[in-house]
Parts: sequence; structure tokens; C-alpha cells
Amino acid sequence: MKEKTLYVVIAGCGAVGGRIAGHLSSMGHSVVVIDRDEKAFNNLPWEYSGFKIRGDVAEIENLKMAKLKNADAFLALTDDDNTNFMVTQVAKKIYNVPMVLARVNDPSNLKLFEEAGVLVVSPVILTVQFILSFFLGEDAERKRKV
Amino acid sequence: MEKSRILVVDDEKNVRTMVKKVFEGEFDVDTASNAEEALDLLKKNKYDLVFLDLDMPVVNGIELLERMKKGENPIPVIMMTTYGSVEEAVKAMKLGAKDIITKPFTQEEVTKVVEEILKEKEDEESNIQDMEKRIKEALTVGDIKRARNMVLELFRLKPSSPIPHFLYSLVNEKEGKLEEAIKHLNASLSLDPSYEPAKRKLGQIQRSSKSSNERKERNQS
Repeated sequence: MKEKTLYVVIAGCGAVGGRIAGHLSSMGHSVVVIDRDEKAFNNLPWEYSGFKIRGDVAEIENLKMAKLKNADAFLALTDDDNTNFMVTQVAKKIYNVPMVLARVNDPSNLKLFEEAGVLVVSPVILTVQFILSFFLGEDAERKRKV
Repeated sequence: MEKSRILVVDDEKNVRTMVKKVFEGEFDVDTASNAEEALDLLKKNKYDLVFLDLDMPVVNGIELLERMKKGENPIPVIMMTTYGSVEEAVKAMKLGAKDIITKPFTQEEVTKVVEEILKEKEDEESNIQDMEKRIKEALTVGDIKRARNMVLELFRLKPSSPIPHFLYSLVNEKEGKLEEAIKHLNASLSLDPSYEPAKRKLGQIQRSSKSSNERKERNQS
């Protein structure tokens, strides 16, 4: 049986958003990426087969245009935490999107997002954890030799 | 069975790729990035369905739709629009677009639209085949009036198809109006030069008319 494909809306088409959009579309999901900067779409891989909306994600019209109400997942991946927080709240509370995830650039904002029921990913925390993994744990020594 | 053939016309590569990915395998899918490329492909190939972007630069979807509708065999067209282009979408429907799908759309949405249109086309074809059968039966039993009425109904349903002209030629032939029959066979072939029944019937009438003339000449001499 054909697996159900997801409808994913991504805010922000930077290095992260562009790559995620590319991977998800090549996995067969329906993807829409929103960014106010046309040049940001250059971050999408050549084979990207989703939609692009040029506009400010903070404007509700652009979220309507992306049919956020139909989305299975919404990813707020801009480099601005305020924007990410605001749009994730719109996605959760107005459009009832089942899965809402945000990139949280400043780790001091993590608590705020988590308390608002948003899944979070922090590039700072991930980097710290990755580097520390070379020094902590049972296989730290083996990792350092690679 | 031959695969249905789809043409996707959109200046955005990602949209062309998406629609192609959804349907390739099940259908033969060609893509065009502008109106010129599309018209070229439409001349070369026979399509069962066309996806047409409304907002293309230079020649937009409406203009291309207008040009396509001037063609002899109208193809079902699905217009792809963006949110907010209601007026243009209404214009497209007035010009005969079969359906409108608003970007961004999911694979499920686009598949559903295509399935509905192809089903409708299939039903229409089966309905025509059924009418064709009934017309031939009426002619066999000599009910010319009923056959003529059904052909006229078919003209109304499929004005651009070669079939009603062909069937009308059979009615004319039955009535002995061979010149009229030839006129309708030529009209049928002008709509579709590859339509075999009309080609065969025209050859048959021309041969029988030639041998009848030869007989007359021999009798006179």
C-alpha cells in the first residue's frame, strides 16, 4: 500500500530550511517553503519538487496562501526567534497543525517555546552536545581517534 | 493498453517536477516551461490532459488556453493558480478549463482531480460508443429518422469529434445522398485525418461511385 504523504509547510529557506525542504520533497512529501528573500530559494536543491512562496511569514496572508490549515507539519526555521515563536503559535492555535517544530537560535528562549507546546531544536545546544560527545561517555576516546 | 499522456506547463521548474513525479509511471508526462514550448509539444503529440499555469510570464495561461481552444481537438485543461487570482480563474473556466487547482497543492489533491477528469472522459467515450452502436442498429433496421435524430444529438455533445460527421455520412448513404455523404466524410477527416472509419468509408463510396460511372459509360457505348 502506498504510504501516506505529508503536507509540510516550512518558514524560512536558509541553509537549514532549504535542505530540509529538499529532503522532504525527495522523500515524496508535499512541501511548501516560505521566505521573503527570493535569493533564499537558491538554497533549495535542484531537484526540489515542492512549492515556493515569496513573502513575509509573519503576515497571515502568506500562511493562508500556503494553506497552513491543511498542513500535517509546520517547521519554523527562520533565524529570528521572535518570528519563529509568533508563527508557531499561529500554526498551533489558529490552524491546529498537528506537528509544530521551531528552530530556537538563542538557548535562553528554549523554555518559552517548550512551555508553549512547540517541539524545539537548538543549533547551539546540538553543537555543544556534539563537541562534548568527544570528551564524555564510554566511546569518547574511540571517537577522538577517528 | 496505451498510457494516457499528460502535459505540464509551468515556468516554475519545481512545480513541473512535482506533477511529473506524481504521475510518471502511470502516465506519459511531458513538461514545458513556456507557451511556445507547450504549443510545439501540442502540435507533435496527442495529450489526454494538460496542466496549465495561470501566471506564466510573457504568454500567460489564459492566452495559451485561448490559443489551445482554437485547435481542432480540445483537450481537458486543469488550470494551476495561486491564491487570490479569482478573476483570472473565472475567466479560465469560461474559456473551457475543466478544473482549477490552487497552488500549493498536495499529491492527493492533484491525483483526485486527474482521476475525476479521466473518469469523466472515459464515461463520455463509452456513452459515445453506445450511441454509435444504437445509430448503426437504427440504420440496419431502416429507421433513418431515429438514426438522424441521434446523430444530431451527438453533434451537440461532441461538435469537434470526427464521429458525428462519419455517422451522418452513413445516414446520407442510406438515403442515397452520396454527395452529402462524401461532404460529411471529408468534414470528419478534416477534424481528425487519422480517423480510420471515415477513411475506409470514403474509399468505399469513391470506388463504388467510380465503378457505377464506368458501368454507365459502357451501357451508353
